[in-house]
Amino acid sequence: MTTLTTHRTSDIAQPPGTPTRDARPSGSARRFFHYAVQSILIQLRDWAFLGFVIVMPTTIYLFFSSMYGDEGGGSGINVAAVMMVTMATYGGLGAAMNAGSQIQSERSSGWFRQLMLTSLAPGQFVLAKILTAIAVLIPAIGTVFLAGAARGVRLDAGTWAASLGLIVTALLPMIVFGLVIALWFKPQTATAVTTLAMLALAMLGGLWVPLQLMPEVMQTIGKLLPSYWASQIGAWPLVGGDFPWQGVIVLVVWLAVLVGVGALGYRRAIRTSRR
Amino acid sequence: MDAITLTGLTKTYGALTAVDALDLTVPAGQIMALLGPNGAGKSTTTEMVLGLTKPDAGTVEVFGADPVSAMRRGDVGAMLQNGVLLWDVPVRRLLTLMHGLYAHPLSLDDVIDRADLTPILKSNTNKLSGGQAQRVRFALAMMADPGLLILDEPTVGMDVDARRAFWATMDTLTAEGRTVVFATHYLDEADEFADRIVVLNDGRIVADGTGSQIKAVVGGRRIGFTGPARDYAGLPGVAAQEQRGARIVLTSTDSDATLRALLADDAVRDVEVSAPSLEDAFVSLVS
Repeated sequence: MTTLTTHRTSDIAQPPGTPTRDARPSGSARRFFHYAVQSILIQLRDWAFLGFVIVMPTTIYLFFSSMYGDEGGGSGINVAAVMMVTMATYGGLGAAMNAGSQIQSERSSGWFRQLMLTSLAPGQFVLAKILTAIAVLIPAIGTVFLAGAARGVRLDAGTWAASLGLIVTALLPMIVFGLVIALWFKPQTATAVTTLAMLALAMLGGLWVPLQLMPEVMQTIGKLLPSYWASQIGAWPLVGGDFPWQGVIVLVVWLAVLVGVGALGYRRAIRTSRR
Repeated sequence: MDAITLTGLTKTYGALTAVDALDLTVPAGQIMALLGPNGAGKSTTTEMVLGLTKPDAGTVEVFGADPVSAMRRGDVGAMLQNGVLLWDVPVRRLLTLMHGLYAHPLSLDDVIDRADLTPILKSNTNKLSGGQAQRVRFALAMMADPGLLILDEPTVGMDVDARRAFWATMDTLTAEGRTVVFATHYLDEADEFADRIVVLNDGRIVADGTGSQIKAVVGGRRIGFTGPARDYAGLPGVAAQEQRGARIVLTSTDSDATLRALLADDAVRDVEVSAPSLEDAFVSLVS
């Protein structure tokens, strides 16, 4: 029995034929990749979530564009096309901010503890959730684009791609926003706070009603919000003119503040967590 | 090599000392039961062995490494008490997700077969019965092909058949030379399945031995019979006397001597001698 046991233990520390030490780095990368892909697949079969970030923006877009979309803008820009970018930004915003509450809910349910009983590291878990958010951004934006194409928006391939890429990039700080909310709020409230923040950003950032139609105070507020600039930067390939560098500055400031607040929240979470 | 070495292990939550300077060594290949009332420190101890909780003082070594490294290496598998499953996914997808996260897992088919999951592969995790969910948790615990299995109350929620099937599967797992540490409230299970029983109370070890040694700590035998109601305390070895319905039960430190004296009385009938159950041992140890 003892001989068998000792043999068994050495087997596990050093599986025959695969020196553990050499296999570890690539093994760790393989496990991370597996987890990220599986998380994305699981997220993509969550119909309620997909309805929230894909069906709702697409429906609102189809509704509004059928009401106003045929009017050409003064500068000859198709209103339906700009509205499409705005609604795509709205859908992307929901997808981006969701990563935090995903992490939060898996932590509070206890599933995270189960994951920590595997060879996956905590940092890999968080990174995979961020990748999942980015992966969901693309269908969230893409579906509104498809609806736009169906409504008769005609752009060349380069413009479609540039707009998609710019919206995704401009929404990356909003992933951090979701993480920050998850770090600072209790699990029961984090999801609600995330939704409220998302709706406030969408409304005040002119994603539902154009900022130009709002009172001046609201316009000033809106121009300080990342949601407004994400849609402006995303629309730039369509409307042309000067690149909205002012928006880049606003986004960078938001990102810096969010990272700072997030770092404080992380230290606080480490200090107060029992495990 | 030892599977687990705990040295001066201590964990406090505010004023409560959950684990109090615990020293414990579990040799590889041993099957050890951890017994104790709620709040004895069983779960806190297992969480520290798993690297989920950091000790305030003392050290944990698992196969000579720190718990987190041992876990990353795939040397440890565990079933947590009230462990949850990812919500609202089919069992098959959950297993696939987890299978890719271990360093040297058992094959998925092998795990499904051993945990008897074939009938529920398509079921959603939120539609499983308690026993089915427990089988999935068990599958996750053995998936790593670990040298050490830690099971916190593994058969909670299982019916008698499921429990029997569980321990039969455990038999095949331990026959492969794995070390098993399990916490349980089913004391008969501990007695039947474990090589060694460690009894915890208030974060300290109050007894450590085989099932029969634990019983010996309490000492003595119980002698039950029907006979005239009188004081038997004068008989040799008798430590206590109890009336249970029509029967009288004596606790004796020397059952042979007590019996010789007792059977001299012709009115004494239906004599039954028994060792105290582990339950009795447990109660007198922690009180």
